[in-house]
Amino acid sequence: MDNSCLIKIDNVSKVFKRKGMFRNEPEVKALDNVSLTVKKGEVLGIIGESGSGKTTLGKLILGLLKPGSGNISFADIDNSSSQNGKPIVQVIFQDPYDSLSHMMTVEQLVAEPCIIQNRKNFDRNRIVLALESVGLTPVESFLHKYPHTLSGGQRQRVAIARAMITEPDMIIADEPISMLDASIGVDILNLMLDMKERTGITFMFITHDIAAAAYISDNIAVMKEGKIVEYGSREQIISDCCHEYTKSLLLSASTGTFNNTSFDDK
Amino acid sequence: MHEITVVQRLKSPKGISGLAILCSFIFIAIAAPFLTSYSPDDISSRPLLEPNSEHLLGTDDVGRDIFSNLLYGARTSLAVALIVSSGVLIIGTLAGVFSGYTGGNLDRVMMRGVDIFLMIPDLPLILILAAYLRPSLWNIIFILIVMGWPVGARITRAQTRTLRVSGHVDFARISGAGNWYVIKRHIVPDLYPIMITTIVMQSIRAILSESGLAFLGLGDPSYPSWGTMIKYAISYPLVFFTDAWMWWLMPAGVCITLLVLSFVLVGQALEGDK
Repeated sequence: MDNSCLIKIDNVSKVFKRKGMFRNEPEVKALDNVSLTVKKGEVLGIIGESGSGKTTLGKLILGLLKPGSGNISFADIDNSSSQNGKPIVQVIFQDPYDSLSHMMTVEQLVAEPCIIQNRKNFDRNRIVLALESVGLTPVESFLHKYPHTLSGGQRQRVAIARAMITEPDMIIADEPISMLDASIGVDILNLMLDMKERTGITFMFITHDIAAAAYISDNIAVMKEGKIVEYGSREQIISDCCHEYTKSLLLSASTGTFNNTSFDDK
Repeated sequence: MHEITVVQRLKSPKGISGLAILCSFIFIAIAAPFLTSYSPDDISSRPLLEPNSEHLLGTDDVGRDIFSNLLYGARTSLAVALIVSSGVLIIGTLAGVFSGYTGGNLDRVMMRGVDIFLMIPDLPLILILAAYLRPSLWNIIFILIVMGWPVGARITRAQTRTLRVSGHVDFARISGAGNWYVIKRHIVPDLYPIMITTIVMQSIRAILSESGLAFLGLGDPSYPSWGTMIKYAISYPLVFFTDAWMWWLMPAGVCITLLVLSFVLVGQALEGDK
């Protein structure tokens, strides 16, 4: 495997079978021979409509689903905190109301990955630092709050702090801003960019919003019906895309909430 | 539901009155030997005495002190409620979490088993079993648990299935958590509200069933029970022609009603009713 690659996805397919009581219902082909490489330190945007298989791709990389066929290989990484040299992949989910357990305080939530990894002992300072770095200040006032007392943006910040605390090599952000309103969404995107700059973490940014993807990503892959129909750098995709679907996405984005001029701000 | 809100909810008028009644019954049950000098089985005096300073509620047709029967009856009712509800809770939760978390064919088989249990009408079966087995308190408890756990298992399983695919469980898995950790930290805490409801509902059911069976003569004669008291009082031919029903029949009925009411009030308070 190439040295600059972190994850290599080879001809991966995933089919969901639906078992009916008397007859099997039609199969759903979520991923169809997808090949993709994720380079170290890049922000890879995956865009596509609902049902195009982008979340399934994320779940396969996370190990929540097993690929039906094909292979996902990880780069060997010298990382003291991970066993067998596999890079640590963390996740930020779409729905901050579902992804934070409502029975835990912010402190417990952020500490959880540490506790799972090293059993009981974890450094409380790390939690404070992580919360500070996502902008939840003053930290002391947030530590003992329950998620249902936080706003959507604050919850998503907690989710980011929680994903960052184990210093992962890669974070898969599965539509992290689609449930937030536009201004808070931009804040979260800036926060992720800021994180990336500071720690050199690799991001995989799954979204249906081409404007957001263009704002944050280095490379973009466009998915439709389980296939990657177009892959290229941000400039390539924005300026001279070839596929019909990408064009229609761009057209709809230019009339949407995100303004095209925001691409230049980065 | 968080621990704070549990306390807050119990602080509503309903919760407080329910808890007050329940606590006083628990106190009565524990302190029974100190509140009365008579044992419930002792034929301590002349039969059919009216209430006086020695026998606060008089005596029944064989001369037993009704007041001490009433106090010790609280022990029986509360003990049955406690054992049955915790038995149903433990077995139901274990079965429900296991079935819901494992999923697949095992889940299907277990749930069909639960369906069969749920299909059997409760009371007729309890009557038949209580009639065939020896009339003992443990048999009644056993039957009530056997007939009660499928309800708990079904509710628990449904909740477990929902939680198993939720975001926070996925996140814990990605972070490297094992099944045991997920169940302990993410599934069981979310089941607390269901567990509380189970305890309340099963306690009510246990108290009513135990009293009902005792009233029908299928109870355990060696334990004092409110149902047994009502049964003897009613079967005494002259109870309604004298004033005896007022201190013989009524207190036991009031006790059953109050105890069940206290559980209902606590349950409603926990559900958020003011």
